[in-house]
Amino acid sequence: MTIFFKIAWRNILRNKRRSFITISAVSFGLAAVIFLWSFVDGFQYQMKEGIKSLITGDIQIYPKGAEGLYNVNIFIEDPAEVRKILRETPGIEKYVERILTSGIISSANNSMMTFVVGADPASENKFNPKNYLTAGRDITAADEHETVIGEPMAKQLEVGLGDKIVVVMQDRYGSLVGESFRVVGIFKTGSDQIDHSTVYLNQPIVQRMLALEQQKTKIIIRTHPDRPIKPILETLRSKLDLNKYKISPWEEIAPMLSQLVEFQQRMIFIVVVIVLSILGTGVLNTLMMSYIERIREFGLMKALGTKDPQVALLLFLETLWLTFVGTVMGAGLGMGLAAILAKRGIDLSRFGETFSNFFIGTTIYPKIHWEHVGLAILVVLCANLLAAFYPAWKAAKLEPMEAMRQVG
Amino acid sequence: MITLKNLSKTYHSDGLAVEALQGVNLEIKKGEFVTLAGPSGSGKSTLLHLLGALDHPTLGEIFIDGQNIGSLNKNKLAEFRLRKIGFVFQAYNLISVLTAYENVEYVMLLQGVSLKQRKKRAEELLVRVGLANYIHTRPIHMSGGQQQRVAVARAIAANPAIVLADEPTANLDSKTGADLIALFRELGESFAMTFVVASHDPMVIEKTQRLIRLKDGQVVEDR
Repeated sequence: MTIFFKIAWRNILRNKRRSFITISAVSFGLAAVIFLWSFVDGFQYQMKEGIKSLITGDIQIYPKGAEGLYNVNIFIEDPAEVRKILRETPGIEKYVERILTSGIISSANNSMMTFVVGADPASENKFNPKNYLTAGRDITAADEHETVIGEPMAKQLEVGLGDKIVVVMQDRYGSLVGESFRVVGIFKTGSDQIDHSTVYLNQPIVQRMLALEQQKTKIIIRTHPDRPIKPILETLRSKLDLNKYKISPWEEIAPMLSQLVEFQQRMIFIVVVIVLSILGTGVLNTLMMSYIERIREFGLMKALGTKDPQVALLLFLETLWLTFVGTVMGAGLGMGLAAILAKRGIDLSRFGETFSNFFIGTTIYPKIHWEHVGLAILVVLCANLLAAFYPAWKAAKLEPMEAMRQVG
Repeated sequence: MITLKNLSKTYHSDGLAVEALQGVNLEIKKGEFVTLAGPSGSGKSTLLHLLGALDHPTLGEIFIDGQNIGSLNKNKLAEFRLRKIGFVFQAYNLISVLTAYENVEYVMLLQGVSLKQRKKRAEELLVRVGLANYIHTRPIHMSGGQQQRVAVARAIAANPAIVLADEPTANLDSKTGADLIALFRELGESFAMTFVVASHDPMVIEKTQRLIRLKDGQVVEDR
């Protein structure tokens, strides 16, 4: 076996220029694929993190029957019961309780429909420490008639810091209630949905306006990043009364984004297979040229007693050498580039409008997923070994004398 | 030890049948140094290839050490060549990416000989054929004569029963050719191997122990 490794490697070196071109093609192709995949993984990671930290969490608990986003009449009546179970369930990193409803927000100049988030500032800051403020400050527990709104909403309402707005909602008994609030902060999350139409108020005042006591609309949970969501979901479903609560993973709450993630992954895999298969044809070309040049030598080897599978093995080993060197270089290049850009980020602010519904901001940080790097390497290996089949079969089937007579 | 019974080989080319060998009957004893002579196209290379299990006869049988090699399948023929036959071809004898030592070692590796034995035998044989200073040299850096010597060392290294050489002196100058044949005789005597050499080189014919002359695929002289 060692001798075949040696012969294979020296045959790679025999035509250095040709081998270099083939190895370079494998390297650049693999590097491109690894980088592209890390870019998509980074994009998807930011998108998932964005929606999870801003809206869905990893898991949501909400009252059964309140599957529609904001149903003013159905609440989690006893959040303490849920809290207790959450504290006892391993794998839960943090959670936040929100009151969500809809209403009308008006300034001196304009009015518009709005989603109202009754938030507990301390819990929210812990839940999502990222600061989205572009002006002013966040609301605190001490605030009552203060609010933060999104940049586009402020623009539409023609208000700025210190200006007053009025929020009108329907309480749990159907009566209209309204209060005025002073804008103390303006934020920009990068999500159209939030920035255009969400107003954040302190939770106690929202409870009071809606005639609520301890009730909450939703409890939003983040799990530990290294713990799979499914077992935690199952534990919660086994512990909480499913006649009262609905417990959903983020994919159920935002199916469009979840399907987009899956669709992108399948697309990228198809691209990987196509690109690497094209590289396989390059390897096939190299091996065929190598085979044609060495027909006489294969004949000699067979005359000396080398068996058909050993001759085929030699060509497979040459493929493995080409693939190995190409893979080491390509994976190094691809991951190196991804790692550099993972630190610096790729500024795509000129496409900001396109990304504004994906919760990712305008800078993408590529993210290396080892399983995707491994899969790309596996695909390149399979494509190249598949490409080696034909020349290996041709070489294995050579008749020694015919081969030795062919050239020279 | 080698018995050929009514051996015939017909090639077909462009619809024409060319009878390369016609009903050859021969016996070659162990340890003999035999030269197959005759003009080009007389059938000596064909006979050599049939003896080496590199080709199949159209008719007739070849027995080597009592075994009918016509009954062997492709895999067994490869094994037969590996264990029983040493080849020295006219040219393109060596695996170009391997050194002289590695070329000699190659067949022993296929045979599964241990590293220690391979090393000892390959080095001994290369010294024996006068290539002590070329052990780790690749064929491209060696002359034609030196390459033929490596091929001889390789043919002997596997301890074959028969060494077949096809026009081994054709690409060599007369002195190198004479040295090579002397080497064949010497190795044949030392290792009790049968040498069958196809050649129309008068020097080879002169130095042979037994001459079999072929013409139009038939044995016309055997002395």
